[in-house]
Amino acid sequence: MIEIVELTKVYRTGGGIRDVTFEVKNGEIVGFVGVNGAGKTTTIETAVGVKIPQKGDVRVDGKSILKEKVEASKLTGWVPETPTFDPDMRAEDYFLYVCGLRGIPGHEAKELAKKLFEEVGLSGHERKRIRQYSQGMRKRLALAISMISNPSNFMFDEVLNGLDPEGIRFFREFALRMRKENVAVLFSSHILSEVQNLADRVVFIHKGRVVKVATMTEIESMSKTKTFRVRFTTPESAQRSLELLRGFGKDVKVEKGVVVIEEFNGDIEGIARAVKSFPDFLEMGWATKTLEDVFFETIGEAR
Amino acid sequence: MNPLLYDFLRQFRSWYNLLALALFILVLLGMGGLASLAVKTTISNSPLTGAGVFAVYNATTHKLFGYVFGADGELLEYRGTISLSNGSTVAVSGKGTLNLTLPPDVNTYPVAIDLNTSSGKVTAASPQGFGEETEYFFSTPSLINGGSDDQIQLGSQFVYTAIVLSQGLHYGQPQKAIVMAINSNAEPATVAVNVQKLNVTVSGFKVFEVEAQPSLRFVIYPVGQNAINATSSAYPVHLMYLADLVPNLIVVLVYSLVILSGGFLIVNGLYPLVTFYSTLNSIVRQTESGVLKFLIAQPITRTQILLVRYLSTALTVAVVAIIADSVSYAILYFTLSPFGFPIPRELLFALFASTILIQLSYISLLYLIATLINRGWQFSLISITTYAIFFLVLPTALNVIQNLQQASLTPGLSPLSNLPLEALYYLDFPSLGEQILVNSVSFLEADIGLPEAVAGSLVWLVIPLALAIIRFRRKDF
Repeated sequence: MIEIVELTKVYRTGGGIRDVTFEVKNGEIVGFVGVNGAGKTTTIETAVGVKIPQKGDVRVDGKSILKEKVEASKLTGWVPETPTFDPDMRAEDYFLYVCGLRGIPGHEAKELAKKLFEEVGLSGHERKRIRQYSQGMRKRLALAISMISNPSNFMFDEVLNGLDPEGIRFFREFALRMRKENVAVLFSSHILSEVQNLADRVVFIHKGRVVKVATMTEIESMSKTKTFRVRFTTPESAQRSLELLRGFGKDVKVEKGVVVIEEFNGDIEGIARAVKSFPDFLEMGWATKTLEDVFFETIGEAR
Repeated sequence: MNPLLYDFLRQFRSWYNLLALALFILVLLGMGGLASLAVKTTISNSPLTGAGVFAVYNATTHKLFGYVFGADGELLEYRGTISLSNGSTVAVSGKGTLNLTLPPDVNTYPVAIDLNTSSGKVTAASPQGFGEETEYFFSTPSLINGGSDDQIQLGSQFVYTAIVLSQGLHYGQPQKAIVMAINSNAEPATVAVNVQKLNVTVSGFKVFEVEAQPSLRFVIYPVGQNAINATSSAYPVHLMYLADLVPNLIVVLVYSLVILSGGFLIVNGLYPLVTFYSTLNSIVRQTESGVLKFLIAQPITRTQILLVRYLSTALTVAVVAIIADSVSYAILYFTLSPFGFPIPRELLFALFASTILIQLSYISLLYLIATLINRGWQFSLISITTYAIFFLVLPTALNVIQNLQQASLTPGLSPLSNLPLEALYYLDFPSLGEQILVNSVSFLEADIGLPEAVAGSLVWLVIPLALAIIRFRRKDF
C-alpha cells in the first residue's frame, strides 16, 4: 500500500506539487493522470526518494520514504519514463552492480539476474551494452532491477511512452498480473484510454494539486449524458428523420451524418418505433463521455 | 560484482576514458623524459668531462642546493663565501671557507659544519690576534667520538674560537664540527673557518646545502685546476636573496623535476586532472544524465552511494599515481644513473603518500562542489577556479609572504610579512602535502612539522567530504 500524505515539493520556478494526498491500496491499480507539467513525475520521484519534499511524507506498507528509506525502497519498484544507466556497461553487469550495492552475494545475484531477465523478456540480451538497448528494453531492465527485492508496490511513470505495441502489452499485462497478486500499482500516463482500461481508480492532478480522485464506477457515472444518438447508413436518411425525431428532445440536429438529440426525453420505445420506417437505420444509443472528456471537464472546473 | 571494483572499472570502459588515461601517462612520460634530458644536457655540455657546478634555490623552503659534478675520480674543489648576520647558522659540507663577521660585544656564534667524510681538517682563526687559534684534526675512527671540553675563559677584549666534533659514532658516518666563536671586542671581529677535507674526489653528484637566512648572500664558484672550465660550462649561481621575492619559476621547475623525482610538479600540475576527470565521470555527468537518479531510488543510503564513488575515484588516482610516479622515477633513475642519482630513495614512499593525501583532499573538495551543482560546465568552471586557488594562488602567496618575512630585517617592512605563515599553510592542502614530503627528506627543513602537516591534510580530507555527504543526502536528483 502506498500512502502519499500532503506531499509538497515546490521548485524555485514556482512549479512542483502542493499537498498531494492519495493512496494506492494493495491489489489496486491507480491511474495517475494530468497534462505535461502537472506534477505526476515530481510526485512519483518524491515518492521513491529521488527528490526531497518540503512537506509531507510517503509511506510504503507503513514505512516512511524519508525516515526509513532503505526499508521503504525495498518495498517499492519504480520504472521511470526514461530510465538512464551507464551506457557503456553490459546490462547484466549493471544488474549485478546494483545487487552488489544492495549487499546481495554474487552467486545469488547471478541466479536473480537469470530469473528476472527471463521474466521481463530480456533473455539473450544480458551481455549487450546498455547503449544498444531500445527504450523499451531499458524500461524492462529497470523493471528487472526493481524486482530484485520482489516489492509489493510498483510505480510506473509514463511507462507506455515510446513503446511499441508489444511493449505496451507487456507492461499492461504485467500491471494486471501484479493486481492479481495483491500488489499496489500506481500507473501514471497521459494515454487516457490505457488508464481507462487498466485502472480501478483515477487520480487527476493539475498544476501540482490533486483535483479529483474517482473510482472507475464513479467515472462511468460521470460519463453518462442526456444526449441520444441515432445513426443511419446514409446522411440523407438522417436528414429526412429530423422531422420525425424532433419531439424526442429539446434540440435535435444532424452532426456528421448522425442525428444528435440533446435533452432526450427517455422514450426509447417511441424512438424505436419512429426509426423503424427507415430501411437504412443502423443503431442508436446514449452518448457517453470518454475519460478524456471527464478529465478535461475536471481540470476545467479546477481552473 | 563488487560495487567499488565496478565503479573503478567503469571509468575505463569507454574508449575516450581510456584515451584520456593514455594521454595522461604519455604526458607524464614526456615530462619525466624532458626532465632527465634537461639534466643530462646540462651535465654533458661541460667540455671538461662533465665537470661543473650549479645550484638551485628553492624559494619555498629557502634552501639552496648545490651540485658539483665531474668525471669519476676527478678532483674538483669549490668554495663558498657566506656573510652572516647576528644569530645566523650555516651548515656547509665539502671544502670551503667561511668568513664570519662578528659584531661588537660578547656574542657566541655556533656554526655547524657538516663533514661528509670521516677524515678532514677544520681550522678556525681570527686575524685580529686576540683569542686562540684552534685546530682539530681527525683522521682515524678512534678520534671520531672525541670532543672538546675546553673551558673558555671569558675576559675582556678577545676573540676566541673553539671547535667541537659533535656527531658521528662510527667510522664513515657524517661528522659535524661546531665552531664556537666569541667576540668580546668593542669592534667587529672576523673569524675565518677553513674546512679542508682530505682526499676529496668528486664522482657524480655531490650535494651541499645552505640554509638561507635573513640577509644571507651566497656565492659559489669552482676553484682549482678545473675552475675556469667548470665555471664556463655550467651554471655558477650568484643568488642574492632579496632578488628572490618573486619565485623564480624556472628554478622551482628544475627543483621540482630534479630534486623531487619529478613528482611534486606532477602532483601539483597533473594529478588534479585525473581527480577532476574521475569526479566529473562519477558524480557530475551521472547526475546530469540521470544515472544516479535510478541508483538513489534503490534500497541503499545516499551516503553509501557517495562513499563508493569517492573510494573508486581515490582508487583510480592512487593507481595512476603509483604507475606514473614509478615510471617517472624509473626514467630519472635510468637516465641519470651514469652521473649519480641525487634523489633520495626514501622519498618514494613519502612521494606516494603525499600525492595520495593531497589528491584525497582534492577529491573531497571536488565531491563537495559536485554535490552543490548540477551541470558539467558549472563543475568545470568552479573546479578550475579551485585548482587555481589551491595549487597556484595560495602557494605563490605563501612564497611571497615567506620571502617578505625573511627579508624583514631590511628597511621598508611590508605589512604582509606580519601574516602568520603557519595559518597560510593550513589554508592550502597542496602546501600541507608538500610539507609531508619535505619532512621526509633528511636534508630539508620543513616549515611545519610532520604531525601538523598530516593532521592538516586529514582535516582537508574529512571536512569537505562530510559536507559533501550532508549535501548529497538532501539533494534532488
